[in-house]
Amino acid sequence: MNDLKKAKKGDEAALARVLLHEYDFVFHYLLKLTLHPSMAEDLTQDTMVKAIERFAQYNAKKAKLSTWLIQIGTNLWRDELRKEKRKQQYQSLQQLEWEMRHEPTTEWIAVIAELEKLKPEERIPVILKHYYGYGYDEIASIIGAPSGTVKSRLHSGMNRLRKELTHE
Amino acid sequence: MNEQRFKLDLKQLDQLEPKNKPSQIEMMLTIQATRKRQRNELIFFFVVAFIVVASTVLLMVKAPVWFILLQAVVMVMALVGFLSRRKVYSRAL
Repeated sequence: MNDLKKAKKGDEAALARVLLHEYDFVFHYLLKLTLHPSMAEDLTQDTMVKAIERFAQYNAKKAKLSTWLIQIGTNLWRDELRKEKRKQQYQSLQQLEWEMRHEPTTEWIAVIAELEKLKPEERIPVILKHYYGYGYDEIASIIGAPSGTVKSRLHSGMNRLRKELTHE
Repeated sequence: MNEQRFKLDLKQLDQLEPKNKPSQIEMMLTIQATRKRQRNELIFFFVVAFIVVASTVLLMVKAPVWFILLQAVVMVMALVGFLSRRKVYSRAL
Protein backbone atom coordinates (compact mmCIF):
# COMPACT_ATOMS: atom_id res chain seq x y z
CA MET A 1 0.00 0.00 0.00
CA ASN A 2 1.45 3.40 -0.87
CA ASP A 3 1.81 6.31 1.56
CA LEU A 4 -1.18 8.19 0.17
CA LYS A 5 -3.52 5.26 0.81
CA LYS A 6 -2.05 4.75 4.28
CA ALA A 7 -2.48 8.45 5.03
CA LYS A 8 -6.11 8.25 3.90
CA LYS A 9 -6.62 5.43 6.40
CA GLY A 10 -5.35 7.64 9.23
CA ASP A 11 -1.64 6.77 9.32
CA GLU A 12 -0.04 9.97 10.63
CA ALA A 13 3.52 8.98 9.72
CA ALA A 14 2.44 8.32 6.12
CA LEU A 15 0.62 11.67 5.97
CA ALA A 16 3.76 13.42 7.25
CA ARG A 17 5.86 11.72 4.56
CA VAL A 18 3.36 12.56 1.81
CA LEU A 19 3.18 16.24 2.82
CA LEU A 20 6.94 16.57 3.21
CA HIS A 21 7.39 15.08 -0.27
CA GLU A 22 5.32 17.94 -1.72
CA TYR A 23 6.75 20.64 0.58
CA ASP A 24 9.41 21.99 -1.79
CA PHE A 25 7.05 21.92 -4.77
CA VAL A 26 4.45 23.98 -2.89
CA PHE A 27 7.11 26.38 -1.59
CA HIS A 28 8.52 27.00 -5.07
CA TYR A 29 5.05 27.54 -6.52
CA LEU A 30 4.18 30.03 -3.79
CA LEU A 31 7.54 31.75 -4.22
CA LYS A 32 6.72 32.32 -7.89
CA LEU A 33 3.33 33.73 -6.95
CA THR A 34 4.38 35.94 -4.07
CA LEU A 35 7.97 36.69 -5.17
CA HIS A 36 8.60 37.05 -1.46
CA PRO A 37 10.58 34.22 0.23
CA SER A 38 9.40 34.67 3.80
CA MET A 39 5.77 35.07 2.73
CA ALA A 40 6.10 31.93 0.58
CA GLU A 41 7.55 30.09 3.57
CA ASP A 42 4.68 31.16 5.86
CA LEU A 43 2.07 30.32 3.24
CA THR A 44 3.63 26.89 2.67
CA GLN A 45 3.36 26.12 6.37
CA ASP A 46 -0.24 27.37 6.45
CA THR A 47 -0.99 25.24 3.37
CA MET A 48 0.32 22.15 5.17
CA VAL A 49 -1.84 22.84 8.25
CA LYS A 50 -4.93 23.42 6.07
CA ALA A 51 -4.14 20.20 4.18
CA ILE A 52 -3.96 18.27 7.47
CA GLU A 53 -7.30 19.75 8.56
CA ARG A 54 -9.03 18.91 5.28
CA PHE A 55 -7.23 15.72 4.30
CA ALA A 56 -10.44 13.70 4.66
CA GLN A 57 -11.92 15.81 1.81
CA TYR A 58 -9.05 15.11 -0.59
CA ASN A 59 -10.09 12.93 -3.51
CA ALA A 60 -7.16 11.31 -5.32
CA LYS A 61 -9.38 10.45 -8.29
CA LYS A 62 -10.18 14.12 -8.88
CA ALA A 63 -6.71 15.65 -8.69
CA LYS A 64 -3.09 14.95 -7.85
CA LEU A 65 -2.06 15.83 -4.31
CA SER A 66 0.27 18.56 -5.60
CA THR A 67 -2.62 20.14 -7.54
CA TRP A 68 -4.83 20.04 -4.45
CA LEU A 69 -2.09 21.64 -2.34
CA ILE A 70 -1.56 24.33 -4.99
CA GLN A 71 -5.28 25.08 -4.84
CA ILE A 72 -5.11 25.52 -1.05
CA GLY A 73 -1.96 27.66 -1.32
CA THR A 74 -3.49 29.88 -4.02
CA ASN A 75 -6.57 30.52 -1.88
CA LEU A 76 -4.43 31.32 1.15
CA TRP A 77 -2.41 33.81 -0.87
CA ARG A 78 -5.58 35.48 -2.13
CA ASP A 79 -6.82 35.77 1.47
CA GLU A 80 -3.47 37.25 2.44
CA LEU A 81 -3.73 39.84 -0.35
CA ARG A 82 -7.19 40.77 0.76
CA LYS A 83 -5.84 41.34 4.27
CA GLU A 84 -2.98 43.58 3.27
CA LYS A 85 -3.82 45.20 -0.01
CA ARG A 86 -0.69 47.25 -0.23
CA LYS A 87 2.37 45.22 -0.97
CA GLN A 88 5.91 46.46 -0.63
CA GLN A 89 7.26 45.70 -4.10
CA TYR A 90 10.73 47.09 -3.59
CA GLN A 91 11.30 45.23 -0.32
CA SER A 92 10.19 41.89 -1.69
CA LEU A 93 12.48 42.14 -4.75
CA GLN A 94 15.39 43.08 -2.49
CA GLN A 95 14.71 40.12 -0.22
CA LEU A 96 14.41 37.78 -3.19
CA GLU A 97 17.79 38.86 -4.58
CA TRP A 98 19.41 38.65 -1.16
CA GLU A 99 18.06 35.18 -0.45
CA MET A 100 19.11 33.87 -3.86
CA ARG A 101 22.61 35.28 -3.37
CA HIS A 102 23.29 35.50 -7.06
CA GLU A 103 23.99 38.41 -9.32
CA PRO A 104 20.72 38.86 -11.13
CA THR A 105 20.87 39.56 -14.84
CA THR A 106 18.94 42.56 -16.13
CA GLU A 107 16.67 40.15 -18.00
CA TRP A 108 15.83 38.26 -14.81
CA ILE A 109 15.13 41.46 -12.90
CA ALA A 110 12.89 42.65 -15.74
CA VAL A 111 10.85 39.43 -15.84
CA ILE A 112 10.45 39.29 -12.04
CA ALA A 113 9.57 42.98 -11.81
CA GLU A 114 6.98 42.68 -14.58
CA LEU A 115 5.57 39.52 -13.07
CA GLU A 116 5.17 41.40 -9.81
CA LYS A 117 3.22 44.11 -11.60
CA LEU A 118 0.68 41.60 -12.91
CA LYS A 119 -2.55 41.44 -10.95
CA PRO A 120 -2.89 38.20 -8.90
CA GLU A 121 -5.79 37.01 -11.06
CA GLU A 122 -3.47 37.18 -14.10
CA ARG A 123 -0.28 36.05 -12.37
CA ILE A 124 -1.76 32.78 -11.09
CA PRO A 125 -2.89 31.40 -14.51
CA VAL A 126 0.28 32.68 -16.25
CA ILE A 127 2.51 30.71 -13.84
CA LEU A 128 0.29 27.64 -13.79
CA LYS A 129 0.08 27.47 -17.59
CA HIS A 130 3.44 28.64 -18.81
CA TYR A 131 5.63 27.30 -16.02
CA TYR A 132 3.85 24.22 -14.70
CA GLY A 133 2.05 23.33 -17.92
CA TYR A 134 -1.44 22.90 -16.43
CA GLY A 135 -4.37 22.79 -18.84
CA TYR A 136 -7.16 25.38 -18.89
CA ASP A 137 -9.62 23.09 -17.10
CA GLU A 138 -7.13 22.24 -14.35
CA ILE A 139 -6.35 25.93 -13.79
CA ALA A 140 -10.07 26.66 -13.76
CA SER A 141 -10.59 24.13 -10.97
CA ILE A 142 -7.58 25.42 -9.01
CA ILE A 143 -8.70 29.05 -9.05
CA GLY A 144 -12.43 28.32 -9.05
CA ALA A 145 -13.31 30.23 -12.24
CA PRO A 146 -14.73 29.16 -15.64
CA SER A 147 -12.12 28.14 -18.25
CA GLY A 148 -13.22 31.02 -20.49
CA THR A 149 -12.21 33.44 -17.75
CA VAL A 150 -8.90 31.60 -17.34
CA LYS A 151 -8.20 31.94 -21.08
CA SER A 152 -8.93 35.67 -21.13
CA ARG A 153 -6.85 36.34 -17.99
CA LEU A 154 -3.98 34.34 -19.45
CA HIS A 155 -4.22 36.18 -22.73
CA SER A 156 -4.24 39.62 -21.12
CA GLY A 157 -1.51 38.66 -18.64
CA MET A 158 0.84 37.33 -21.30
CA ASN A 159 0.12 40.32 -23.55
CA ARG A 160 0.99 42.70 -20.74
CA LEU A 161 4.20 40.79 -19.99
CA ARG A 162 5.25 40.70 -23.66
CA LYS A 163 4.44 44.38 -24.15
CA GLU A 164 6.36 45.53 -21.08
CA LEU A 165 9.36 43.31 -21.75
CA THR A 166 9.73 44.20 -25.41
CA HIS A 167 9.63 47.90 -24.45
CA GLU A 168 12.75 47.46 -22.32
CA MET B 1 9.50 37.64 -24.63
CA ASN B 2 8.94 33.96 -25.30
CA GLU B 3 7.71 31.16 -23.05
CA GLN B 4 11.14 29.56 -22.95
CA ARG B 5 12.80 32.62 -21.52
CA PHE B 6 9.98 33.14 -19.07
CA LYS B 7 10.39 29.55 -17.89
CA LEU B 8 14.17 29.84 -17.59
CA ASP B 9 13.93 33.04 -15.58
CA LEU B 10 11.37 31.55 -13.23
CA LYS B 11 13.37 28.33 -12.94
CA GLN B 12 16.08 30.28 -11.12
CA LEU B 13 13.66 30.67 -8.22
CA ASP B 14 13.75 26.89 -7.72
CA GLN B 15 17.32 27.22 -6.47
CA LEU B 16 15.99 28.78 -3.30
CA GLU B 17 15.39 26.23 -0.55
CA PRO B 18 12.79 26.70 2.19
CA LYS B 19 14.59 27.77 5.37
CA ASN B 20 12.21 26.28 7.88
CA LYS B 21 11.24 23.02 6.25
CA PRO B 22 10.01 20.77 9.07
CA SER B 23 11.55 17.38 9.76
CA GLN B 24 9.49 14.18 9.68
CA ILE B 25 9.06 14.35 13.48
CA GLU B 26 8.06 18.04 13.41
CA MET B 27 5.49 17.29 10.71
CA MET B 28 4.11 14.43 12.80
CA LEU B 29 3.83 16.74 15.80
CA THR B 30 2.03 19.34 13.65
CA ILE B 31 -0.40 16.66 12.45
CA GLN B 32 -1.06 15.49 16.03
CA ALA B 33 -1.51 19.07 17.32
CA THR B 34 -3.84 19.99 14.43
CA ARG B 35 -5.98 16.88 14.92
CA LYS B 36 -6.15 17.48 18.69
CA ARG B 37 -7.26 21.10 18.08
CA GLN B 38 -9.92 19.90 15.61
CA ARG B 39 -11.21 17.36 18.14
CA ASN B 40 -11.41 20.05 20.85
CA GLU B 41 -13.24 22.42 18.49
CA LEU B 42 -15.75 19.69 17.65
CA ILE B 43 -16.37 18.94 21.32
CA PHE B 44 -16.80 22.67 22.04
CA PHE B 45 -19.25 22.97 19.14
CA PHE B 46 -21.37 20.06 20.42
CA VAL B 47 -21.36 21.40 23.99
CA VAL B 48 -22.48 24.87 22.84
CA ALA B 49 -25.11 23.37 20.51
CA PHE B 50 -26.42 21.19 23.35
CA ILE B 51 -26.66 24.18 25.73
CA VAL B 52 -28.50 26.28 23.13
CA VAL B 53 -30.97 23.50 22.23
CA ALA B 54 -31.53 22.50 25.87
CA SER B 55 -32.15 26.05 27.04
CA THR B 56 -34.53 26.70 24.11
CA VAL B 57 -36.54 23.56 24.89
CA LEU B 58 -36.56 24.40 28.60
CA LEU B 59 -37.81 27.92 27.89
CA MET B 60 -40.50 26.57 25.54
CA VAL B 61 -41.79 24.16 28.15
CA LYS B 62 -41.43 26.21 31.34
CA ALA B 63 -42.26 29.71 30.03
CA PRO B 64 -43.91 29.60 26.59
CA VAL B 65 -45.00 33.25 26.79
CA TRP B 66 -41.42 34.39 27.35
CA PHE B 67 -40.30 32.12 24.54
CA ILE B 68 -42.75 33.67 22.05
CA LEU B 69 -41.85 37.17 23.25
CA LEU B 70 -38.14 36.42 22.78
CA GLN B 71 -38.79 35.07 19.28
CA ALA B 72 -40.72 38.23 18.37
CA VAL B 73 -37.97 40.51 19.71
CA VAL B 74 -35.29 38.62 17.78
CA MET B 75 -37.33 38.80 14.56
CA VAL B 76 -37.96 42.55 14.92
CA MET B 77 -34.26 43.17 15.65
CA ALA B 78 -33.22 41.15 12.60
CA LEU B 79 -35.66 43.08 10.40
CA VAL B 80 -34.46 46.45 11.72
CA GLY B 81 -30.83 45.42 11.22
CA PHE B 82 -31.51 44.27 7.66
CA LEU B 83 -33.38 47.46 6.72
CA SER B 84 -30.75 49.78 8.23
CA ARG B 85 -27.98 47.91 6.36
CA ARG B 86 -29.88 48.26 3.09
CA LYS B 87 -30.17 52.00 3.70
CA VAL B 88 -26.42 52.32 4.27
CA TYR B 89 -25.66 50.40 1.06
CA SER B 90 -28.10 52.39 -1.07
CA ARG B 91 -26.59 55.66 0.30
CA ALA B 92 -23.09 54.43 -0.51
CA LEU B 93 -24.11 53.66 -4.10
